[in-house]
Amino acid sequence: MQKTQIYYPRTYRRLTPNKFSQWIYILLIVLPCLILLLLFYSKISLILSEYTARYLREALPGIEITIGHSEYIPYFGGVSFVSLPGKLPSFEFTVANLLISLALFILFTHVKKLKGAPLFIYLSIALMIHIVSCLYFALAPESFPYTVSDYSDLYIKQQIGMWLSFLVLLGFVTGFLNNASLLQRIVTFAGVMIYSAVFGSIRYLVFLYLIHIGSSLYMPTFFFSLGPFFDFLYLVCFYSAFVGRVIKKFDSRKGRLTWGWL
Amino acid sequence: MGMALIIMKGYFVAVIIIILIYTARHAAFAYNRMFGKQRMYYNDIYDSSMPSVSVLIPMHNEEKVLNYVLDSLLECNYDRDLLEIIPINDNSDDNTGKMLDEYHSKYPFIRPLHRGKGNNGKPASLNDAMELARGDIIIVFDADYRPGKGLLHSLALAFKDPEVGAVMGRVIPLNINTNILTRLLNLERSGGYQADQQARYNMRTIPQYGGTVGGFNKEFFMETGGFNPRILAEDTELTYRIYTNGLKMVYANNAESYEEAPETWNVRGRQVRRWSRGHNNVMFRYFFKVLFSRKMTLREKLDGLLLLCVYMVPFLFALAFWDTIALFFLGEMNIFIGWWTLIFVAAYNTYGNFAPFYEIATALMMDGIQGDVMLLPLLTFNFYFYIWYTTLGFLDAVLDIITPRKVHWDKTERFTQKNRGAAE
Repeated sequence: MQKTQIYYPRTYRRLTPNKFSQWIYILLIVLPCLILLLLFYSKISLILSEYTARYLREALPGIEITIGHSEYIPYFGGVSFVSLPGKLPSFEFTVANLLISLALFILFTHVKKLKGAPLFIYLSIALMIHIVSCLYFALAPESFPYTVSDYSDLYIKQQIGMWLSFLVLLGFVTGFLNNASLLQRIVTFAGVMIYSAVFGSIRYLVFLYLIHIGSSLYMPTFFFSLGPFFDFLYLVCFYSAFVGRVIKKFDSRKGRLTWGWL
Repeated sequence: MGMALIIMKGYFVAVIIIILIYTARHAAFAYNRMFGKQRMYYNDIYDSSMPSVSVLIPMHNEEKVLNYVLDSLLECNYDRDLLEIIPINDNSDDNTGKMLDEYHSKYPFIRPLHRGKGNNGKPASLNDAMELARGDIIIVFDADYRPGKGLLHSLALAFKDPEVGAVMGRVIPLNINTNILTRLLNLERSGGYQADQQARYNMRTIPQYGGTVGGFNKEFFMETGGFNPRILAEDTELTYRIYTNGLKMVYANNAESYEEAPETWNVRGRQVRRWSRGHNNVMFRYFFKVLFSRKMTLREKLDGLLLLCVYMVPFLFALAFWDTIALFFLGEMNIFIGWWTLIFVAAYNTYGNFAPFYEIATALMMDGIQGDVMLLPLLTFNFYFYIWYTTLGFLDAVLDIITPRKVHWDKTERFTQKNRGAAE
């Protein structure tokens, strides 16, 4: 088990930053994209809402689906969102959900093979949220403070917030790691933003459809368990792929010259 | 109700600020490790008068692994006239004692200490062994570790510097390819040592003594009262004792030793819970000592306080999570909260567990680990796992402080022989 080779070079190796290149990338690529998104998010939310409304009208014929508008970031304009009627769950439906959730929760927390594993801890927490939701709707359904339109409004605002945050975060990450090729950095940066746009739009459509069909009972679970958490997951996926490529490059014959020591 | 809402919102915002501070701290570490000037350990120094060393190895039912650590130490190139090895047989009921006596008969400088029933656990064991130890420097290994040939020399060298109170080497899992958990733990270890510890050493904040693959000055240790058997994280306690007494810790990134990482989630969960309990216990005892210390620099104090609270943050987080759910049902999930929820999620994912994903990625880049970097997204799920067990550990620590209950050492299960048996 003794190591035959001491990897001395990895101990203190490091990269040399090119601050000029780092800031040029941020100023010429990231900043303009950020400004464009700030200037056009109103329009983007309108297009997204119109497409979502069109598909929902096909899936839910006879339901009144309109486009609503609300304020967002001062000076940059408001957002548009899909407005549609929702429904409260019946008592029987709520109790059935409660019993199924409790059964699954007990399963995940008591079966030896499942309990304690990260995925099942995550699922158990999601179930706990759903159980709280069931109890709320079983005891005081009329006092639930949100309509589907409120949720829709919040979703769009959160999604745009996410796009803005990802743009800044990814911009800095790909900007600072300027030893990677420009193409790799731009592909990663654009890849996350495009994926986020597609994923966020499809999820918006699916959530609205499910909440309309299944009632507001599912709103808290969607919001807390399948919301930003999943956006972060694909951000890390893209980032991992990017770093994987960079590591491969740095450990190639040519890439080794990139390293500095001490 | 209005006041309750203000408190709930205030708490939520406070937690966000705390998390953002930690995120910034780890981003600074990642940047420093990637681009900053690296502070070298005491490499390439030769000294003809090395200090005498006592290697202590606490063992409780370690028959599965003890031969690996002892055989590895026998291979070490440290002058045997200056070396003694004290394996501590802490109330074992397997063959540990017998096997140690066999080693002693072959190698007299391996001097086992057999402890019976009584005050068991690592801190109490180390205290007893310290009475027996003749070396100026104490180096501690856990029983599942495999030190490299030059490790003892490398660690002992640091004590030629009179300012050094303790030294810490780098821990690398040996059983990386066993399953997903061991591969993930390898990523965490890489992030924790290659990036986090080295950056803290570079930035002259507080590299942490990890309780194994490290050593400390015996005289200083005995003068300051030995280990407290009520504290499970004797390593963290020693780190803070060193700094509050005006000495320094050094981190030796090139002094690598190999450990057996837990192979089941259950074992890992119990380990994390024990770490959290011990670390939080130290936090309760040292928070104000660090804050008002006259021997620590401002930078050391700042990082020291953040490091002290690192196992409390997941508990604060868990509370904030339920706080947001309550706010949601109270109709307060307006855009303000919506925005903060986003930052909350992003921040807790970046803070994550022991090192956030970008810090781990930095370490993997430095280590040149290509394939497993694709496992990084799985750490997001680990976050819930760590929240759960760290919170339990925090609650244990609170109970330890407010009740006179005894602290019991929960040994980490070993897998080596089990795997070998399965393979055969």
